[in-house]
Amino acid sequence: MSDSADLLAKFKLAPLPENVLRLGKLVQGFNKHSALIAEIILSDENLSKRVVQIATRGKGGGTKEEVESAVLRLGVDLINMVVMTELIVHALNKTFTTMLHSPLDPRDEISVMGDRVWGMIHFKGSANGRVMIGIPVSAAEWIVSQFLGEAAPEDPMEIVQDVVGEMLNIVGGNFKSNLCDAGVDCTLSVPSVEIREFAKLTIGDDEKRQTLYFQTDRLMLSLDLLINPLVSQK
Amino acid sequence: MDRKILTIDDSKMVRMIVEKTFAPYNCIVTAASDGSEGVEAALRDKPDIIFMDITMPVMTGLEALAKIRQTPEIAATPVVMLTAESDAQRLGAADALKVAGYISKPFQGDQLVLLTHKLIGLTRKK
Repeated sequence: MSDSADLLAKFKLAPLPENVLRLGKLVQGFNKHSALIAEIILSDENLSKRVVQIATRGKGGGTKEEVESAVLRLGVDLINMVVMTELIVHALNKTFTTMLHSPLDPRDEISVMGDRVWGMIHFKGSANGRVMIGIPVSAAEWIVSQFLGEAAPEDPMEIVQDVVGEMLNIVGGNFKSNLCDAGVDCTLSVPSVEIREFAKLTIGDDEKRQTLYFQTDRLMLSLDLLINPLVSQK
Repeated sequence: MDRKILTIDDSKMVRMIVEKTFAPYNCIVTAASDGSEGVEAALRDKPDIIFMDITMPVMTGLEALAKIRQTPEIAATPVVMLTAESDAQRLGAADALKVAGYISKPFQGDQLVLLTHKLIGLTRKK
């Protein structure tokens, strides 16, 4: 069998950003590699800021000392959350940019009234957790019209749940592939989708949750990442 | 002559996007929603090209691809994987089953048209 780089080149597929790939691999051996993890985080400005912000509750910058201190202070599970978040945001952005030509702008919060389409997918294996997205029904209808144009059914609600489920499949599939290539094997569940005002979510004792909000010129959405501790760290 | 295209995907949205993408061309698009239905449809319709998802209920895309390769009447049909999962393990498995192409979701319709034209030739409707 050819190696990963050869296959990606053969099928003209884009590789994962090198920093995220290396970081994913290193998180597996956190205790041995904390200095290296700090070094890799330092090579990426966004990751540096995010790690320090989490460690200092928004007060820190991104200097070498601050990052090294943040890595040690946060420990493996929170750094793992930062890496997973980076991977899922990368997958979400790729999906929106490629299929809707609509880059996502991160927000501190969003204000949504009325029903939303909630989609959830589970990943199980060396990494365990869930990804949930929430999109207002009107925004989901707009996505249907963008994807299907004149081929869209007269009542877009006929296909709204399928569309959000497939978007989640695409985001989850990219996320899972990136984890696999980083050495964290897992499988994905079939997405579940429902329409309701608020998400029905029970959080487990071991689960850590990160909620992110995004906006484009046409829609707002929320993304929740819930992860369990890495199997090898339990 | 109309080209016959088979899309095998459990997402109605993806099946509809494939149909919409090829609407301006001289081709007939048929669809199946899982691997098992897809193999049956391939045997029945003898498509010129197949676009296939990997993660599907009943029979996965890789299982269906293996079945197609073992079935003499359709073994030589070009199959393009159209999937969000493009890790080394999946790529390697698909490559071993001699896929004609691998398009990673998210995708754009142009990618399907370009690859189809390259593999089997396409003409626009007048």
